[in-house]
Amino acid sequence: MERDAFIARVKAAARAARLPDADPPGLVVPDLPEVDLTEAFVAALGRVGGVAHRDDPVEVVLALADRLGTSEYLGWDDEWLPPGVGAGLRHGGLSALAGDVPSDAEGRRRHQSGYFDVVLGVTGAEAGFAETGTVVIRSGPGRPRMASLIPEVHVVILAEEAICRSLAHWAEANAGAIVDAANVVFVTGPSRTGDIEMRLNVGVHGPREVHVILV
Amino acid sequence: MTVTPVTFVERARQAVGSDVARSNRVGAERLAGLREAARQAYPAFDEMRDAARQIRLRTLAHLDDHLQRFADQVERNGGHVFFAADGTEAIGYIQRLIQDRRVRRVVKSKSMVTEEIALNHALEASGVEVVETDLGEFIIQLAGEHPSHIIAPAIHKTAADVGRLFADKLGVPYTDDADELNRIARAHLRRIFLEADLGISGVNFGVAETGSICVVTNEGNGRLVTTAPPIHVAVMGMERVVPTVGDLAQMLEVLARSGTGQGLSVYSNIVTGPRRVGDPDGPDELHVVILDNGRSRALAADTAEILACIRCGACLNVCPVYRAVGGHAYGSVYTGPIGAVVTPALMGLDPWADLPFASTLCGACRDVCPVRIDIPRMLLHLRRRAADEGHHPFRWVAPGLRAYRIAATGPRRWRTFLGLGALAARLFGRSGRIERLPFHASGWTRFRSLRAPAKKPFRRRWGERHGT
Repeated sequence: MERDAFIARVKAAARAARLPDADPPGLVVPDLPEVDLTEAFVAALGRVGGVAHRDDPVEVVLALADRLGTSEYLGWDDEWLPPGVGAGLRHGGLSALAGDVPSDAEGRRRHQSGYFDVVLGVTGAEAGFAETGTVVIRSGPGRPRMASLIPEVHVVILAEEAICRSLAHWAEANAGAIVDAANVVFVTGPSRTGDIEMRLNVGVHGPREVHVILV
Repeated sequence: MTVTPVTFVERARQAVGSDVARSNRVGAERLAGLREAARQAYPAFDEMRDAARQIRLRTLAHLDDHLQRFADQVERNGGHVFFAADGTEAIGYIQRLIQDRRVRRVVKSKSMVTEEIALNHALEASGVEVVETDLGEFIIQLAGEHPSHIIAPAIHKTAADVGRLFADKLGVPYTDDADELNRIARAHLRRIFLEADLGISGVNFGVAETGSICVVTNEGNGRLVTTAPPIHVAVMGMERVVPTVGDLAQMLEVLARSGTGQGLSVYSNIVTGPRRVGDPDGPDELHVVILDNGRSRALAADTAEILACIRCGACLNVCPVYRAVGGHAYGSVYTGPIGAVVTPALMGLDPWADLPFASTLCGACRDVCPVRIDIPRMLLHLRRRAADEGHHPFRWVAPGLRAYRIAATGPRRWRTFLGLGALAARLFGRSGRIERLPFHASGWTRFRSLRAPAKKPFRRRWGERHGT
């Protein structure tokens, strides 16, 4: 249907509808109890099945790689991680997989086929929500979306001062930033499903484990 | 949408006591409990529901403006927009795209709106492989069935059912271990994701001010579908738009809490245009298909409020009718209280006139709705319309009420009527209980008995005591 005709039909229907026309109240930022944001974040992350760490990021990632038996990771470029992390991982024997997917269909398929066995992903995050244990991950140059999505284990490095109270608190201050990237995702714990007999199961498509290293 | 020629009552009769209905009830009770726990744990929840309701209703009142803005912004971000008056137009657009780009394999994340227009069926008929990737939907697709719950489509399948299905269709050894079944599905679907030519998602919310679309999932398939293939097609019911990013945040605050009791779903994925210059990955093309398919009809009528629905499924979980008969009895992709309104509101009362009667009007749905939709009132509107249009499924109700009006509007007629009633009660309730009533009244006594009326009516006792 032509756009104008479609819109005209919607307009006629909306005018006929009997709906309240008051101004919406604007974002309700809830008045939640005062808490220590870091402690609350760690507790909430635990409730959704994530794991918080306060140790040196390089040591945490290397220990995980050792457990997983991998020598490579899919991650953000060094410049997007805290200083020294990328170099430290390589010094510890981990190599970074290329995250740049070619634009042609065949090149894309060939490159992404290589992701099948990726077990470790390392990214930063620009914010955390203490209420829900959520991290905010923004894609862009040097920050592939796949790094937080395709590996079995996703490691997030989050600055403690970036933790805010809740999604509503974050949105109040950062709503405009959404358009700055083609993809922004709020990640709340490991991938989960209850689709077989309502039993909780993790890692059905996304990461089975989410580790957040607070720095 | 599948149209079943049998009535709700017939479908319900088959469903009561079935495995589907039983597992639907267990799942529904559990989800309702999780939602209640989340409500109690979050003091601002009810205030946020009020705000969410205001946002949705205000947006619907000016839906044309918000859709214009949304479409302009999607195009500014480098996406394409197609306005589809109905399912046929939406399917046609996607089929043309598939032909143009020589697409062979399509991956889909769960979306009620694509179920509504039977997109999979149409695409498969034109020779394209379409793979559902939500675990529940994947199971349903392998079994060749229909979903029985909005957010838990395979809620009626046991692990053993799934194990047999996987063994049969995927050629893997039988297991009824849910964790192992999960791993099998992950490995099977992963290869398909990474090599698919086109991904189709639904849209939970479209944001007018930015042209963003938000797809909410727990499994992560919604992210894979919108990330791995070179082309992403998002199919959006036209009512899904919200004005601002703040409004989106408000809706996300109530969506997961209402549906599953989670504070937020695992992934709230916000896509703003296709992959940009310098982006390492993501789709090169984004197409947003905005669908009317009866929504402007629902908007213009006294059912406009139902378009505020955000498809959380909370109303199903508390509905005594849904809990008794399960999702399949509704005969439509939209089930439960919301389905009893949405289906006839979008598709018309023919052949869905009996769905608005599939409710006790107890109001539990309204109490839990994150946007406080007055579902019982919508059901009454639709019942009245059904009666006006001659669709009333219980033909004896209207003449019965006419007879009652005659009896109740004159003192002498009323006393005669009560006398007949007392006589009937003595006839059928000799033991003090009415065990069985005849004809149309038999439904009242099929599963229970009623206490017989007192031998001496209250009116007479009152008169004897007070002398009136």
